Amino acid sequence: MAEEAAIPREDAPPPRMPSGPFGRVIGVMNAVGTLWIIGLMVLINSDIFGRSFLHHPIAGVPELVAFSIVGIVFLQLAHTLRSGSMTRSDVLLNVLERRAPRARFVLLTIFHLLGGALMLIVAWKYWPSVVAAWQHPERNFMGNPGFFTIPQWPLFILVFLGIVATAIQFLLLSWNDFNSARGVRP
Amino acid sequence: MNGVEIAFVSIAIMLVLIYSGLHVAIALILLSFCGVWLLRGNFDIASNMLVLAFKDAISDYIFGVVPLFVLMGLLVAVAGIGRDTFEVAAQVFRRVLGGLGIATVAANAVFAAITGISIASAAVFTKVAVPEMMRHGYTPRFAVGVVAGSSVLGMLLPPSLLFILYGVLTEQSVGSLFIAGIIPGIVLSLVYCAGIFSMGRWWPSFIGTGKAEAAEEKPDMSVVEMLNKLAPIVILIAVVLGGIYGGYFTPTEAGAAGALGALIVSLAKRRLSWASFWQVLVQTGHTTSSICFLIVGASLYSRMLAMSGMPGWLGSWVVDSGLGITGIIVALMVVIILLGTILDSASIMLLTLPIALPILNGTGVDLIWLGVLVVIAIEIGLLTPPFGIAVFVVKATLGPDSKVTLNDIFAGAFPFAVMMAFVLILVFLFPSLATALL
Amino acid sequence: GQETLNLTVATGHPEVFLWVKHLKETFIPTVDAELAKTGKTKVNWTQGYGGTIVKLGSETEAFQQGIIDVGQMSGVFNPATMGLLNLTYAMPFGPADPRAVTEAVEDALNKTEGALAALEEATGVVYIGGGIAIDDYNIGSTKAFTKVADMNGVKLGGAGPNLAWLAGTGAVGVQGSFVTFYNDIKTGVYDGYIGWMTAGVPAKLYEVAPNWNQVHFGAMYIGGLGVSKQQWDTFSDEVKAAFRTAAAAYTKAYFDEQDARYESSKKAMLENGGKIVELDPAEHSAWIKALPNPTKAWAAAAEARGEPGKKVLEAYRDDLKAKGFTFERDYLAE
Ligand code: NA
Ligand code: NA
Repeated sequence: MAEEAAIPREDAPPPRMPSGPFGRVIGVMNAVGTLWIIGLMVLINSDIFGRSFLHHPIAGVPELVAFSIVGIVFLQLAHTLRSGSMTRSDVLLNVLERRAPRARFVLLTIFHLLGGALMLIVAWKYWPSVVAAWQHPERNFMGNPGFFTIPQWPLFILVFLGIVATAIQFLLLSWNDFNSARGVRP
Repeated sequence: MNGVEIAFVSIAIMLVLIYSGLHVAIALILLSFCGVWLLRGNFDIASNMLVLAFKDAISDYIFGVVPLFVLMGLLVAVAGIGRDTFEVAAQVFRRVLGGLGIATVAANAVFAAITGISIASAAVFTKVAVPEMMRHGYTPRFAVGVVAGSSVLGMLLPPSLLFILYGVLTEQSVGSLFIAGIIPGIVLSLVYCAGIFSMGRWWPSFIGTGKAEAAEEKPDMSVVEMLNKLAPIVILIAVVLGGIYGGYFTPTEAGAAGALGALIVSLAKRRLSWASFWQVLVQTGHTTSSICFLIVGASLYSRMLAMSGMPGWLGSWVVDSGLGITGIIVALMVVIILLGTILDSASIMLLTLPIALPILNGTGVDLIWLGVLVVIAIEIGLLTPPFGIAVFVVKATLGPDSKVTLNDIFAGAFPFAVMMAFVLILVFLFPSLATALL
Repeated sequence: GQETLNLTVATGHPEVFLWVKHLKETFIPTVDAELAKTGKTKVNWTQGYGGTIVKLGSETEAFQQGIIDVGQMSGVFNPATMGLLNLTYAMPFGPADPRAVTEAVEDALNKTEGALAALEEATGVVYIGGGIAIDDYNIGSTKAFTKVADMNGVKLGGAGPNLAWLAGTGAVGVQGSFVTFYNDIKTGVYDGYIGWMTAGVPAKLYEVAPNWNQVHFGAMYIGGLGVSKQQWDTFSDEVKAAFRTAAAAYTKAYFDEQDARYESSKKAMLENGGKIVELDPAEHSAWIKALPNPTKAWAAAAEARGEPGKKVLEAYRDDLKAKGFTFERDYLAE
């Protein structure tokens, strides 16, 4: 039954595990991001507990949370894209799948290439920030001296890696779609 | 092309690209990039703008708690707490067509008390309610539609981050705004229930076979059994509500407390293996990543629109049209609903209020009442294509293996957007709905 | 013919904040009026306030990348890059008069060799004046503080650097902002906040925290106006002069309205159940004496950036002294 197939099962298989060396790299990045979420949960709960029961909040939690979410998102972005979880509309793609599978692959080749190119531009323009944050930690930190500070360079490195990995993932998808397009009879 | 023309052309192209299947975030980023490049005639500024948004758009406490709200929802689902709750609701509402839909609305109204953002409600109930509704024979469209639709209650009923933002922008008391949202929130819930009931009667094909048969497969539950099934969710809600109103944590921190609570409950119920826990965490990450990347795109797009001068142009257009106060408020609502199709909630407020307020100031318009109108109008945008964040969250939370399309969710949510517009008109015609409790 | 400058002016804060309001209502019209005198140059402004173009805290980078041309230079909201401009936060318990504070800060910045030059060099933003300060920081709370012991165990919300001022009082500092103060005090996450009258009263914080405790942290200078160096260097002398004139008009308009708002806020607070609480002067002195030196970390951070941190603080202290205000404790002599 079509409707039954639409039910997202609770026992659904784990998201498709990427294979190959690149797959392993983004798998590790994803796992680090995943553990970081637990860390975030522990951090905020410790702050609540310390504030409420020990009269001792943790300094810098807002900065740490703001720092963390950016790290988590970019560590997991490539894996999210690869697993098909990045939001897109499938109205036209579904129609094409039935009526013009080759056109669908051509469209996907272009779209994924576009995504890859855009992410490469961002990575290229982002790199100077990584260098600056590394060379001048005194000008690149979050928080306030005397209260709480955290340097930005570790975050910038992670975000840069995440952007590059997402760009590569887009280009890989584009390449696969291109090959599929060639393999489908018009 | 002038700025306003660039803005309108970009909107048209965005519609085409999104429906063609380009990732929504990529479409937004691409159009912002091209838009700024055209507006400023400078490639470096356009690309640096992207970099800046990648750095700062989600770097905030409020986005930091998104994964924790998602995690709470997934744990509630995996531990079977959601299923248990819905079995009880199914029992209670089994004689009513669309009973589980009504149960979802009711549960969302309660959940609204523990969350300040609609994204959280959408993520939690996608996991908790959608599978159960489909299992009981409801159509996927209705199941996801009712979840997306009722998620708006999360920001209409207090606490609400949108009301807080409105309070800051207009210097109105946040406490009064929260109170003003209560009756409209309840009215919206009732309108949803009435709407679901009516659809069950006169448009059963939309809802599906969600009626008595499914519930009658099983013998009646005893009251003790029902209480037993409800206990975990009641405890969880009590802990979170008690934590917020007992002054232990803020509504944003509630995500962390709720996630920890759900984790403890699922461990206590022995429903969580290491493997399933890891799976939940990975899905939490993917959902978060997907939502936050959309937010980066949405933030960039609104920055591009602000640069184009379109919001100011719209404002002066409304002012020059020589409308009276009532006309201006109606125009404001129309503009907000239109912007809601392409922008996120906070951006709409930041773009429209500074234009509208100086016009309305000193005219005796009740800014608390206006706040309720503005928030309802903005929240309609959560459900309207092409950019509807509640719909995207439902999609992201369903995961890549679900066959429910984005279009299904927009279609399913549409009746709820219409019902919101109806409540918006009610509050507009009867301001006491907002001000009675003050 | 007439030259047209295309300039983008944007802020992270919305227009309800006076320092944004007068950018739009005073600064821009004054620049336009000044330039209209000869008609040689005209500015085509693109305006975006409230984070619609640049997010709060990203102003420095937005200037550097050419995304904005004119805007606020604020050390409070960009502590890593413009930390030199939040010097008064390192010198708490200073004067309560925001005009006096601003004047002394601008004097100190201008007189200290290399201070503004270092800032300009590092950030790529030219400080054109337009300095402003917030009215006297105090503590609004559910409880009245007449002696320091009253603060023991009381949780107070505030921005990070302000919380450092509570050290030694027994009060518990919780990071928060004006956006959430009302709700967080109402539910009891904390019992009060560190803030200033002209922000607290419009947010109706006296409803939840009726005691306005006069601890007098002092008025705080939050920054001035800046123009990206890339743009500034292309400006003619006439345009530069127009901008400086407008910056001075901005400061004046800001303070005039802030003064009026201060008086009306005070009135509104007292009429609506808020009350002013005086802290015992001897207790106040003991607090100041026991405070860990607030200038040390700030000056060290400034020196690390290559800015004359300590010298600016000294110039500020001396300038105030010459005008008749002496800090109760000389933080810099330690
Ligand atoms: Na809520
Ligand atoms: Na929308």
